[in-house]
Formats: sequence, structure tokens, C-alpha cells
Amino acid sequence: MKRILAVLLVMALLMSCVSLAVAEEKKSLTVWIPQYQFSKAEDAISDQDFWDGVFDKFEEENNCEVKVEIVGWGVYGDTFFTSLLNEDGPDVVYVTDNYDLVKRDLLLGLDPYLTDEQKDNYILWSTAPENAAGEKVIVPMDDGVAIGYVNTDILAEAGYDELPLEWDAFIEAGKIIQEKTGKRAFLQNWGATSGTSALMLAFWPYYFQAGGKMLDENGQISINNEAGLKTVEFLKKLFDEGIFDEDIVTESESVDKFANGEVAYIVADLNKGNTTFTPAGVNWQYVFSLKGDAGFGARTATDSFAVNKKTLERGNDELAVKALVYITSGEVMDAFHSQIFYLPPYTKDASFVKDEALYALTSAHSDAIYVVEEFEAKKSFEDTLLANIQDMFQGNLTPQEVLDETMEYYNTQLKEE
Amino acid sequence: MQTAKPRWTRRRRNQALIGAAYIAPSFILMFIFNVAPIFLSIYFSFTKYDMTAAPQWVGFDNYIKLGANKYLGMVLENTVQYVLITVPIQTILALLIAAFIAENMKNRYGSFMRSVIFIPVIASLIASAAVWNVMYQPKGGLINQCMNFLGFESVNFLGKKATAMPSVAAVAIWKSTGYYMVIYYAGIMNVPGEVREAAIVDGASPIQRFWYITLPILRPITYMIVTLGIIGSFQVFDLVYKMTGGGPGRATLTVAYMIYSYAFQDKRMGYACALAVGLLVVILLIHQLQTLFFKERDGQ
Repeated sequence: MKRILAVLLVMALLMSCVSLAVAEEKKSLTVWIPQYQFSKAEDAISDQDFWDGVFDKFEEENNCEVKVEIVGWGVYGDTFFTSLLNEDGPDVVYVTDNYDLVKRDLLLGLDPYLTDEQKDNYILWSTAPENAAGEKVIVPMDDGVAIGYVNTDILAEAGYDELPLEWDAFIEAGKIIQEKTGKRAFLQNWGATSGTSALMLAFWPYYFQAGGKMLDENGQISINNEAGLKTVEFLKKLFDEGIFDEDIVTESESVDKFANGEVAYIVADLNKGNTTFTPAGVNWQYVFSLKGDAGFGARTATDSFAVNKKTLERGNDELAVKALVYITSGEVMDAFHSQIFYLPPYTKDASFVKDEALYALTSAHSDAIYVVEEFEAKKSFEDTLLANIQDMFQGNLTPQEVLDETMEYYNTQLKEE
Repeated sequence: MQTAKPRWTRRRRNQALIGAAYIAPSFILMFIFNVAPIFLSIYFSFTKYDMTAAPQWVGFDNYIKLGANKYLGMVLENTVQYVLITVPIQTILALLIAAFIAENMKNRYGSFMRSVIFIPVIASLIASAAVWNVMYQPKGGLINQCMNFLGFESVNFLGKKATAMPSVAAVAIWKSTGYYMVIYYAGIMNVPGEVREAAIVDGASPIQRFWYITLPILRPITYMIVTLGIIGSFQVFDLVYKMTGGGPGRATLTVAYMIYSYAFQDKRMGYACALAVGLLVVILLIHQLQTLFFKERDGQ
């Protein structure tokens, strides 16, 4: 009996050693993704459940454990930046502002890990920033073009079949719309508390329509040029002609007001039509953008996925890149876009298109979609420009002074390189 | 005549060691979180530091650059304006409310009133700011609706340079008055009864009793409340961040907000620390002036 017991104990010991060895081989990954599920529908799947479900298959195929952390949007940029500085930061991370991450070499160069076929699959791959070694460090993920929405009922009430899109014609039509309907022709969030939030919809699209380029030949931000002046003068004219009123400097709810049927035209993220305006009962249609001297122009976001460079030390760099490719695969993104947050496909192997009209519109104008590029102290630059444009609306600065003061302050106080 | 020094007996030494052990945890925590950051900030203010690489010594460069910052004067002016609005009003309001409740409402209604006035203190500041933002709305906001009802025209409180800072300051006053009121109330309740009774016998009116008895006795509390108020107001950030983002233009931009922008948006810790050290010096100077003022009033 004692012998049997001894044999059993030895076997149990051996088995536990074997299972420990297997467990030790199992690598782990931490993935940070911001909240994207904004639907309040009862059957809406949460971000956490969605990603946990998505990674079940990956964990099984790669014999690993993936911990997904959903991080709130409030100060997300600061949160992931500081996390990447720490030793225990995430392995795979969704990034919004990438300038500081690239400059400080916190991200893994992806080129050595990806095949040409995989790189070619990403529609925006060429726009991804590079590290000092010339390797791309992010996979552009959020192809969220800001697009125009027209309230067709207000337009019809004012006697228009179509909204005139050239800047001057748009202002004239705006005056008529306001006169005939008593409703606002156009609203933009010039009262947003962050320069980035305000300018991505209310400034950069017009700057691109005026033919402006964000960075000069040295890679430095430069808006004190003809296009910049045209843009700021257009904004001033909107104010002077009464399309914007003095309350515009505290306006931060243009989307809600459009959903309430109070506004004829706004620029908003491209999923707002289906997720907000249709449920609100507004009759609306897409317009790609207004049209400046250089034609149409819309901005797109540059949110992306990246891999923490510290995965090299942790020895899970290959697994992390594999997870990055998996997350951004057509299969996963189709599920994400259909269950969590709609965006058009940004990889060639993705097929889910919720809104054919929108997809056709953005595809037809793909040459007029511009990426808002990253540069040093971008947020403070945008805060400065927002403050100066608000000052212009208050009658304290001229359009040229807005540009002069913004660039002077940027060059003397914000830029260090 | 020489006084004998206390002898360090073994028992006294043990007692001292035990005492030191008791205060050590608090002292260490205070040193790490309160004292060390001050010295570190002073050191960083002489460096170029982006939180990733080691700080590089740049001497007075950050201070020289700060001196050339064209918006610094405006931002300091905004901050002082905020301090000058909030500190006197919240101090006087807290004192008057506390005195009124102590004098006239020594019952459950007084207790209820104290609780009601204290509620804003425990309310989340960000939530409060969001609610006040809605109340300040130029179209449809509660305050403007009331003004329209009374026959006044709507005012874009947060959208006008002249009204933006007072409007933010009003929220701060609403938020902090209850806190200072409780401190004043406790002070008033500690005023010796016989002094008040003597004044009543001498025929002093309630206003005279307040002016000649209560107020002088509360001087140390007033000193503390004004000190706390000035320090807190100079550091205002969260209300501005949530309500205006420093706008319109730079009408509500404050020093603490500027420090945040440089430190966390631009990752320029050295420059931000130079500004923080400047703010520390300004607060210390004002505190010194305030101490002198109170000492003079006390005839010291």
C-alpha cells in the first residue's frame, strides 16, 4: 500500500512539474483599447466583452493569455503616454497622438515583422510615421473622415434643392436660410475646451479646401501662408455676415443641435448620420465638404495601433505584432465595425460596409481626404490657434494677426527642437 | 542664573524614540509627497526635461524664456482677478451665513441649513462644472431664462471676456462657501458664553456683538481661511479646464492651467516647473504680506 501511495505521489509530482513547464511557456500580452461602444441599446455588446471574445481564438491559436483593458477617453493621450514610459506598460496599445511616442522611440518598428502583403493590406500604410531607422511604427486604424451633413427639410424650406458648396455661395445661401427659416445655417464647435477638438472639424477642413499644407519642407508646422489667411478670413466672414453669432465662442453642441433640427449644415464624424441623426428623426443627407479655392477637402483621423518597444526586452515582440495584425485584420475589424463602432474599411481584406452611399462618397473623393499630421507641441499649438480665433470673433485680432501671433508664440514659446 | 538642561535619561530617550517612530510614517509620506516635489520642481526648473530622458541642465534658460512669454502677464492678471473675486466673497459669505445660523437658527432648521450649504463641497467638481455650464447657456440656460423672465436680455456669461472669469469664480464661491462656513460656525460656537452675556447685559445690539466680540475672536480662523482661500484660488485649474478651456480667447486662462499645458500636453517639464516655481514665489510673497497685515491689525 505504501509503495502504491509513493508511486502515486511521484506521478502527481511529475505531472505538476510538466503542467508548470507548459504554463511557463505560455506568454502573455496586455492590450489597451479606448471605449468605442457608445450605443445605449440593451443588446449592444460592451467593448470588454467584444474584445475578450475576439481574443479567445487568438489565445487558443497562440497558446497565450491576452488581457484587454478598456480605457476611458478622458485624458487617454496622457494615460497611454505615461504608461508607455513605465516598465509595466501595455504591449499593444491604441494611440491617438503619436509625435511624442515616435520622437522618444517608445514604439516598436514594424517593418521587420510584417510581410509586404500585410503592409499592402493597410490602405493608409504610407501615411504612418517612421522611427529614426525608417521603420513604420503604427498601423493607422481609425479612418474617420469628418463629413458634411445637410438638413434637407430646412434646405427645402429655404427654397434650395442642393446646398451651394463654394465658400462665398455658401455664405449667401446661409443668410437666406436663416432669413427664411429662422434657423441656424451652420454651426461649428468654436467653444470646445480643447483646441484639438475644435480645429479638427472647424479649421483644418477649410485649410485643406484653401489648398493649405500643414508641414513645410522641413517638417515644421506652417499656417501663416495664403491658404491660412484665406481660411481665417472665411471664418471671419462667417461671423461678420451673421452665419456665426457671438455665442459661437461657447458653442460645443452643434451635433445635438443638428439632431434637434435646429441647424441646416454641420461637419461631424462620419458615423453620426446613422447613429445619431436618423434615430433623432432628422431628414438629412451627406455632403463631402464645402469647396474652397483648391476644391473639396476633409480631414481624417490618424488614430492607430502600435506595439510597445519594451516588448523586445519582454521577449513577446513577435506575439505582440501578431496580435496587432490580428486586431486590424478584416475579420476582426468587420466584426468591430458592425457590432461596436461603424467606420469604413481601412484594410483591403475588410468587407463590411454599413453605408454604401457614404462609402461611395468618400471613395469618390479619396484624393481630397487629408491626414491631420503630427508635430511638436501640436496640442498647445491648436489651443493657441483656437484662442486667437476666438479673440478674432471677439473683435480683438485681425485674420493676419491670428496667424502672426499663433506662429510667433509657437516658434518662441512652444517649439523646442 | 543658568537653567538646568533636562537630563537625557534612558527613559526619556526611549520616549523620544517611540514618539519619533509614531510620527515617522506621516513624516516620510509628507516628505515624499509634499516636500521632495518642491525641491525636485526647483531642480527641474533649471533643466530641459521631457520625462523620458535624463534632465539636461540649462541654467536660467527656462526663466529667461518665461520672461519673454507674451501671455504670462495676461495669465497672471486673470489669476489675480480670480483670487480677488473668490477669496473676499467666499470668506465674507461664509462668515455671514455662519453668524446668522449661530445667532438665529440654533435648532434643527439651522442644522438643515448647514447641510444644504455644505452639499456643494461634497459634490464632484467636474459634475458641478458641467451643470453650471448648462445653467450658463446663452440660449435656454436656467440663469438666462430667469433673467428673461425678469425682463433682462440674455447674457453669454462664459462667452464674453468681461463676464467669463466672474462666472467661473461664482461657481468656485458656490462650491467652497459651505466648507468655510462650517469652520466659522465651529469658531462662533466656541465664543465664550459669558462674554456674549456680558455684552447683552451692557446693551450691545446683535450687530455690535458680532462686530466687537465675535469678529475679533474669529481673527485666527479668518487668517487661516484667507490663507487657504488664496492658495487654493491661485491654483485654480479644474473649473477652468472643464468650463472654458481658458477661453474665450485667453480670458480665463490661469497660471495652473498654463503649467498643465506645458507639462502634460507638451511634455516640457522644465519649463512648466519654472512657471510653477514662479507661482510658488508669488504665493509666498502674498502670504507674507497677508501675515504682516494680520500681525499689524493684532498690534504685534
